[in-house]
Amino acid sequence: MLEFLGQCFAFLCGQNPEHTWAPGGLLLPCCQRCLGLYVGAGIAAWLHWRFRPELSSRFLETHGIFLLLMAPCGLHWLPQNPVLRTISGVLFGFGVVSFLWVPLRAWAPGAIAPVRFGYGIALAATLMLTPLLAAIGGTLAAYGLAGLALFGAAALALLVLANASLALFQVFHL
Amino acid sequence: MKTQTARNAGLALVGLLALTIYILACTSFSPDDTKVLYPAFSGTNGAVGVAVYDRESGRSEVLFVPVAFEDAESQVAAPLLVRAQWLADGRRILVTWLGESKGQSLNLALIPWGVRGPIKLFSLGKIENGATALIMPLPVAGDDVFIMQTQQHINRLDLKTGTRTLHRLGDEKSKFSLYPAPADKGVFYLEQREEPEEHFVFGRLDPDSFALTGSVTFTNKPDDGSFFTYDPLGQRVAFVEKGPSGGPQLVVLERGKPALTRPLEIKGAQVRFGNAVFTPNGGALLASCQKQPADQARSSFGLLEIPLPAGPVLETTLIPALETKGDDAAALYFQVGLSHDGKTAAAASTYLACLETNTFKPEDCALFFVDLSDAKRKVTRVPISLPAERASPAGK
Repeated sequence: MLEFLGQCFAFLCGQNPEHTWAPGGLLLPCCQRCLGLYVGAGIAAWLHWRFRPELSSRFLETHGIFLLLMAPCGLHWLPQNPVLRTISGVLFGFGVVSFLWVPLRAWAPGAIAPVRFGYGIALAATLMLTPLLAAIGGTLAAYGLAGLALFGAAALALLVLANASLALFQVFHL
Repeated sequence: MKTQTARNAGLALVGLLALTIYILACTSFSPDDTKVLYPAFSGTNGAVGVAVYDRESGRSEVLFVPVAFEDAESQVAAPLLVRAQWLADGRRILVTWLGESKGQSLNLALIPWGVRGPIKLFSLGKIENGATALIMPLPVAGDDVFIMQTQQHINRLDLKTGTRTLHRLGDEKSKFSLYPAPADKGVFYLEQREEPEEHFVFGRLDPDSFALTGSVTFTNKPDDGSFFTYDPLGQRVAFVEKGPSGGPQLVVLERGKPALTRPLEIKGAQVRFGNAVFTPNGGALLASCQKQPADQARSSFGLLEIPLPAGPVLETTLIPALETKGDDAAALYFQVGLSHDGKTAAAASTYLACLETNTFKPEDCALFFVDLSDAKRKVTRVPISLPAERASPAGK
């Protein structure tokens, strides 16, 4: 399974083995930063779909900062290590999903709710658990993280497609 | 309404752009994958130096050429064995060479790449088995490089300060060799212990305390002059030994798991190996090899892709026919490197041009790139200029 996922993620990730977690001795299908991105994106997409937090200006500003943080981390202006790479990826994943969710929120079912404590808890848990599981987890953690990354990549693809469809719909109806 | 729609679309576009930039940047960030170091001839005196090939622009430039003459009267430079490696920061290149063609004095040059800074030269004096120290890249951890001075004494050289530490490993019943960990993250070692029975231990050496932690122990007898390799985590080792039929047999060992063996014989030909590397996902081995058909003086040189645990071996021939005049070590001079993404293999034939042969053609002197993602294994050949005195009459 991991080999197949590795081939799929090869289109999206450099898969530098030196920058890839290997829980239980199994090399994950994407690098540490991409793992954070896709796991973060998957969790964030689920949170937006399930709880529909209000995308207030403050919320978007915070997530805009998450996006901007990728510049000093990704361009290696800051010293990097495996945990920092993963954390910067998680924050970036939350940021990207939040921005892609903006046009779609009116179309999703359910009522918009204020951002609750739970969203922050989920973000903090993702930031802590992703590198922790990757560093000390076993085979089960490897498959779990790879599955979450796949879910996140699928969620991102769906969000991009939904945005593109919505843009086309609005072009023809406005 | 229109303003709200435009704002939403703008915000989504920010997210989409950020995602696109991220994905595009990730695949091209490793400096090792955009540029390749390889040995090349410089000038007309036959000196071997180090060149850098930029895969994006397709251009090469000679970076460093150590020149040593055989004796006071000689006008032709001796063919030095030169090994170059990137350090993990991508901003420094470490070049290692033996000081004289038949000597054992090991020299190092630390060359800044893309940044301003001094070139640093280190001379470590005479070391045992100097040539074998150059078969693999030197292990580096942070700013420290590790070199075996003797089979029991290890050198730790701080490339920043020049501080040198000598440390003894084990006792006189053990012989040690060192291997690099990926991304300069430490040092692997292989201990050959004679008592109580001859066996080998592969493991990790702590770069600060020199403490040894074994990961794989085995009593097999790896074939001399063939490859010994390991996965990036140092948990699996692979080497060649003599199989039951006397032909080469691949052995892959992992702690707590049964040994994997598979014959590597090619019918009607003798096969010798240069080096081998695990692919990034660990699903195959890529080895450089020399194949000599029975009753023929000429050999072909190329790459073998060996799927693990089973599957057909794929051979890519890069040099179809070269006479090596019985030099059994010729395969060792033809080594393969693998890009970090595992999609491209690279091998240079510079040292084969230094063998005493009259069949080496100038067009065979090249840096070869093999596209492993292409089903037909497309080969790109970057010519390496051959000095006039090394071009054979057969090739002219």
